[in-house]
Amino acid sequence: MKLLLSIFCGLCWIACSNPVPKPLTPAFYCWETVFKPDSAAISLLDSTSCNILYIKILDIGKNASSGAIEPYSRLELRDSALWQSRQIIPCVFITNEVFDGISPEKKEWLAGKIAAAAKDFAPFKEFQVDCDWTAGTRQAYFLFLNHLRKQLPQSTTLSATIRLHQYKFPQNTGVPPVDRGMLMFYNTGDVDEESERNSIFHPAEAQKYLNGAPKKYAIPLDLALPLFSWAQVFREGELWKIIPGPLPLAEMRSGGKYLEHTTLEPFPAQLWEVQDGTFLGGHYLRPGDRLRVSAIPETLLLESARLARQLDLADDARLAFFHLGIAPKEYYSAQKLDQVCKTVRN
Amino acid sequence: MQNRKKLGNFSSTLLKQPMSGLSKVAWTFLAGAWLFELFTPAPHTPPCVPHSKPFHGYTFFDADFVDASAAYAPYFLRFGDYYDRNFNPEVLQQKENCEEWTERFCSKARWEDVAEVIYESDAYDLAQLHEAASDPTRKTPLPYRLENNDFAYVVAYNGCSEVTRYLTFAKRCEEHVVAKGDGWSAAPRHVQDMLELIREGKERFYDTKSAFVRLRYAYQIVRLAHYAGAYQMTVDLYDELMPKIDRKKRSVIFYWALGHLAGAMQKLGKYPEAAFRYSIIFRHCASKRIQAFRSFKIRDDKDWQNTLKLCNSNEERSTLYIMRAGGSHTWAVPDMEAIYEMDAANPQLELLLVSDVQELEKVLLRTSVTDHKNGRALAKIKRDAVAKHLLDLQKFVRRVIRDAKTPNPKTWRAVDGYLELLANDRYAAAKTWDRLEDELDNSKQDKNIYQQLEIWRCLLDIMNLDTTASDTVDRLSYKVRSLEAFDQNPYFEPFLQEWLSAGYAQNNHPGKAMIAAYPPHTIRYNPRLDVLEDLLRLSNNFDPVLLERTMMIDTNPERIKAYFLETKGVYFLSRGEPEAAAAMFRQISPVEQARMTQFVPFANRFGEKINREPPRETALNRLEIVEQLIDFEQQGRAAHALQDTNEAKIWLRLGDFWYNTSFFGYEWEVRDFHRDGANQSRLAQGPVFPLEGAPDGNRENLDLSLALQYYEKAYKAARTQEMKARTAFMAARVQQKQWFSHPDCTYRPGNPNVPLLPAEYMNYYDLLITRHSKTRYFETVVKECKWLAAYAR
Repeated sequence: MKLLLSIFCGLCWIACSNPVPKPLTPAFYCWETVFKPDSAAISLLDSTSCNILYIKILDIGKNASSGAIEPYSRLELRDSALWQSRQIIPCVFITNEVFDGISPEKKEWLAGKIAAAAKDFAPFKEFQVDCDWTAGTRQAYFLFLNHLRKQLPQSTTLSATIRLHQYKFPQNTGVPPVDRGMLMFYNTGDVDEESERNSIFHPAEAQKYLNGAPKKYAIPLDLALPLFSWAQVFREGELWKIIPGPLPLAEMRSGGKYLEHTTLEPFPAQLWEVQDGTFLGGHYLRPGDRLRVSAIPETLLLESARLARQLDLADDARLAFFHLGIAPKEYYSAQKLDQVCKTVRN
Repeated sequence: MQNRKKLGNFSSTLLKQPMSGLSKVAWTFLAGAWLFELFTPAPHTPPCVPHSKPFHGYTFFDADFVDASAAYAPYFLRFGDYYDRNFNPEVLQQKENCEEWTERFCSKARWEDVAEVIYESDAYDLAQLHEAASDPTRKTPLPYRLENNDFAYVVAYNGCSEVTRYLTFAKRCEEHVVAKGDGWSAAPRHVQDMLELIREGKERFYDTKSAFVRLRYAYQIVRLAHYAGAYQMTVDLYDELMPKIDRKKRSVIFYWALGHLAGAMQKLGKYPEAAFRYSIIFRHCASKRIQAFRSFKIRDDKDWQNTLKLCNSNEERSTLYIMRAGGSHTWAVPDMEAIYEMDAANPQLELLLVSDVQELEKVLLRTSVTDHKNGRALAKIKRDAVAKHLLDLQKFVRRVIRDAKTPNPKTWRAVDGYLELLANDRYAAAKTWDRLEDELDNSKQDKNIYQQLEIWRCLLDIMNLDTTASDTVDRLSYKVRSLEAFDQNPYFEPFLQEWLSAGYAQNNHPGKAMIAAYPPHTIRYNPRLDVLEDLLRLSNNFDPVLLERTMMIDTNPERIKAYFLETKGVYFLSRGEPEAAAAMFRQISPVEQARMTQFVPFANRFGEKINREPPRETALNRLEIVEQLIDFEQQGRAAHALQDTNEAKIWLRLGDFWYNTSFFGYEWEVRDFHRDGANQSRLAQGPVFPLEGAPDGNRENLDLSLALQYYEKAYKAARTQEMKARTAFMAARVQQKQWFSHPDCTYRPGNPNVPLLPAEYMNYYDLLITRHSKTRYFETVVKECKWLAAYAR
């Protein structure tokens, strides 16, 4: 009897101490250089009750000829009403090359420049840095983040993006000294490789990153999932261009300029071969060019959400969809995106 | 034990975190899962070569061969940083404008003086200049800074107040249209001020008589409207003002204004209209070609058809085709044919021609050695199709020469010869160039062609080198290197090395091939037997190529031979063949043997440092070492047969040798010439690791099976507990390193945690801890070795 009572009490204790996890809060990335969401985008934001936007304000790289660190694009703000009505998290993208051989003075200077540029987009509670740092640039990047933290307003939450390889091998690449991380749960494939399956997300590839990854990540993690498609154009066997966004498939099928190949993939990546010279997405494609279209259908998005259950996400994690500008809004209903948010937690 | 330690750290970290609603059971489950993860295999990441630079292939075009004013050429051609250095669009733009002013003032001032007034003077100087020009008495002095400026003097002397009035207006516009921001912050735009200036400019436009100045007012107004973001107004202003200007004389300012009109149209969604205008600028205005090419945008086939409809002539249509083909970096013969049909004299056709030949160069001037050195960067499909494309291009070039419609037939003839060279018809190429050279005159264009032919003839000389003739090839290579053209193109030296190397390899001289393309020391990274045997054969024959290439080692042939013999001996030793190694080392002359480096590889140490201590009195060179090794082996066998008490000691020494001279030992250099510490973090990818500049990678001695074999023998033969402990500890170290080299091992150097070994790699640690922990040796070693201490806990 005592034993049964103990088991019963134990079960009660387990049940009481395991509250139902909070569903993820939806958010969107805005990665264009002009912030002017169209009506479809605003409608998607409203219907998903999405109040959080991660907006890229600067693209920073190294000038190929002068070696100077400089922004190569800066956000042009056209819709200030939308900006004011949402919680905005300004983001900067910095190429990893910037931190290769950077001097200590430059790190501080860069942090100062970014903090000053961020002031134009104030007020904000959080600021995010996106950089695919490696073991070689880790030290410089982390020092830069420390400088940036000092230069930003004191109450600002500093966050950084985390790639899957950085999540899996923190012993090699370290954990950035920030308050939160945004795990980019996509780009699992090699875009240069023509034989690559879905180059944006493939469950088998994603699972490889999860296998052997530490169960606990040192900082609270949010999650970013892909909501876009692109076409890799291979010219004579080499990747020539990437055309982002949904393609005019109906037009491509009816125009007689493409030959469509079928694939046996569970999540198909469409293959097209150009038969006759044609313009697509602002690029002139020649006969013989091959297009591999990678997209994220609902089933694959849900699959990615299911796999993401294995991740060590924060209790108050957000789910940011990448990205608003090229997301095919007509394919993703608010209900579906809500289901994705719930799937990660269930 | 290691698990416990790691769990201890893990739990203490977790306790600092809020419990976040997870129960203890859940924590236990997580901890278990985490423990499981410790045994989960690490991913097999592809090897990478650090610091490797992209290589896109060789090109032997001279940058002056095509039209030097082609500021858009970087989009078509690969001339390195030539255009960055020589064609600054901003300078070109200023020069074009100033030259128009100079012409307007009957060349009475140099363009540099014009530039000083227009681009360097401030508002005060210009106001002062305006006063001087407006003064009918001519008594008002020129501004101080422009006192010696001829252009300022001519303007003031002739009372050109319309000009000075315009210049002061242009200076006021400047602050609104010149980018002020550094990219980090947005440059403020004062739209109201800009609109006010547009209004004022229009008034001035209508008040001005000179068509020359009127055009410039129109340009300033249209530009202001565009920069103010008033795109429809830009179009309207252009349509209003430009028809009111007498445009009998062509002016670059017209194209500059057209650029702003095109920009505004694109913003308004009129892509075909914008693209058509950009193509006009591209064809006629050198200073704006780059911007026009960059801004040219056709979204889809409909845009393209609509843009073609706007063209009034085949010349205009052909420019659209040029822009469409530009920068695609692929075969462009069909495009060239289409353009040629429409506009045989199109000045930009030659750019496409050179671009296409460069694509052929990328493939055809690439040897197997180039691939070996730089990786097979080229697409297979392109390589497979190269012969067809070469024939197609030759056919097209010959047609152009035959038709005689091109304004630059000599350029096409020169390329015809080059295509023959690329087709490996060297005799025909030389003949074609001979005939052409006879017709070249002293014109600038012909001089450029001559310069190009010199470069190609140098390439022809390299390709004609006979690699089977050892006695002459070196002399002829020297002759080629002394050519002026050779110095001018940085690609010649690597190409020559690779060409010779490929030739030697084809003639069964792998060693000679190797040293022709790589510095001699690189053969030691991962020595190859066929290479070493060839090099030893050549060194016996005093081969001149070998002597020339090995000069950086030494000029003494005996020393070079010793270098290769020692390398070959190390090759055998690294593979566990001391007898073969001894045979090599014994061939080294006594003088050279005395120069050999000395080592102390038989010491028993338990530290993990890999730095070698200075040779002591007991230090031995490699020959002495292998002789000692062979001797120990015999002694060990004898001791075993006789059940000698020294048996374990002898096997231990041999075990120590193979451990100490491995990648993990302090005397690694006995069996290797190059050790890369970075490989510690990717041991499973070995034993050959990528290394920049290493033709066959860098081989590390990771195999510890011989060391373990001898330690196991020593353990079995040991008669005392002390000896058992010593040999067990060494065997345990070997097993640990073997686990580190296993693909499933996730431990990496620098990890503060003690590495966790699977059971099959823990045999000797377990043995040491359970059976020999009461020995003095154990007590000593456990103090020094933290890992053992952790395992013991």
